[in-house]
Amino acid sequence: MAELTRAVLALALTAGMSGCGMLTRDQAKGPTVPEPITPVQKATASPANPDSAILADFNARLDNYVKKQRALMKGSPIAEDATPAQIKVRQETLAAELRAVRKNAKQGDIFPPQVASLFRRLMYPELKGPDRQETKQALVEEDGEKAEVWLRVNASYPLATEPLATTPANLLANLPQLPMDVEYRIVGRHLLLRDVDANIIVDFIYNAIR
Amino acid sequence: MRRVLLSILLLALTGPLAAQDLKLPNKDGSVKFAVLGDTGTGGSDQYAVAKQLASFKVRFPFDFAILLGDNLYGGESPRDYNRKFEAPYKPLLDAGVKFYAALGNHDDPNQRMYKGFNMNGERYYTFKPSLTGGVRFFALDSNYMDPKQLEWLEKELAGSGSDWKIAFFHHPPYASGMHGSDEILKGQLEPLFLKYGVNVVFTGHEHFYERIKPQKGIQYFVEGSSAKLRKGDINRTGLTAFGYDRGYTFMVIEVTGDELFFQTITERGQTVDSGVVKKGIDNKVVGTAGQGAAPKPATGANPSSTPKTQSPTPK
Repeated sequence: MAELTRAVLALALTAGMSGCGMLTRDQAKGPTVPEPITPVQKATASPANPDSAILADFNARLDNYVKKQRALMKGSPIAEDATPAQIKVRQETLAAELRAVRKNAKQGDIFPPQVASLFRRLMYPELKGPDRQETKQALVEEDGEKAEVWLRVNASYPLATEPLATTPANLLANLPQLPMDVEYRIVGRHLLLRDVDANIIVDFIYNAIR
Repeated sequence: MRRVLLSILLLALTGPLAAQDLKLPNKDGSVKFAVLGDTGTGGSDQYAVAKQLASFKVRFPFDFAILLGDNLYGGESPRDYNRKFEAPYKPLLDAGVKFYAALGNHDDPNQRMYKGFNMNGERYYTFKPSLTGGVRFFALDSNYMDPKQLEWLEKELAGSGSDWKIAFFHHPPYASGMHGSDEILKGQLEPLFLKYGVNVVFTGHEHFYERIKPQKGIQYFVEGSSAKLRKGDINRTGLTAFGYDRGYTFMVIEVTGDELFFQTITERGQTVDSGVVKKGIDNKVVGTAGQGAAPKPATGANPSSTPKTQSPTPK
């Protein structure tokens, strides 16, 4: 059963999730998908599906954030052969600008309650189903390392102290695809949306994993 | 007592010689490179491996190295870049060795901007080290194998006329350790590798060295112990041609004609595996001949590595 689930997910990711209204930097088209396979695709396959409207809401909120971020990025370009110091300066500059632009941002701006609820449901099969042990193992940091993250919108993600891992592929496959500017991170039981370029927490779902 | 002292002296004298035991042909005009995985701890083991690699450079003049991800564990401040990359590999960097990195699950994607990793601002990229070598490399971001990256890979593979196509990334599609084979990634990448003739794949993530038996005409290596080690973590599976999980390792590679020679060396300079991957006229790996031999442990512990293994040569 686990093999089957993985095979289906792999097929779905390979084929692309063109039906979920995803954002990409230049909206490159992937191969078409004949049948909705992933939970996200199923949710968006029919406009009558209530999840479709929730995901559209999420995408609109995310789109709004990414547009702001990219506008600021244009103002602080970085060379493709930067020094570590230049990378750090750009990251901190962008983070400060985003905090200024989003000074009133709060938890739930990107993940409102209905989106949070849907995300928990989308992740549920990987956390409680046949693959749960595999998922939990992937979530455990190596060598018993424990991450401590201050859960607050606009706070820095603690790259400076802890070797935190990316989100396991099977969970990613169940969630809406993201543009390159942001990524999902799981810390403890919480799902974070992290700005990759600014290294700040854009929003989070408290207790996303139960 | 005198005999003991003489023995120790002899060992001390012959040790460095053994450490320089090069098993690659070292031909003029061949493509030579090193492979390191899961390096970025900044710890003494990373420095020991780096030192040994630098000593091999004297006899085996490789021009570049590939990093298989987890290039910087934890902090990524300028000080971390120095402590976990620039300082340990300084002799190599000073000698003009270029490092090409792939991103691991502990890496911040901002590393793609760092000049020392030669990623040109991209999470995934391709490069050809020499115009005449006939080898092209494909560095992938296995953290997020989205449709866009797969589409890019297909386009690049289709357009590559190179004789050898070598892919490298962090998560292994085939491995016998704690994490095991990444089935999702395998399902995504293997069809493209087969369709467009990828010959050899290097991955990390598992903190040991493992040479996988050729799978569908592709040779997979896991090299994730260049600074981190999970002792005894290789679970014997039918996948393993040879494995070593008792010490830190790096690889040196030489490609010449239809042959890719490999040598896997510990932080003490001991060769634990070596051999050749041969490619047929249909561009698929027709077989790998390897001679793995784990060095004896210092104390009476059981060596967990497999004994000398000659891998099958399936088509």
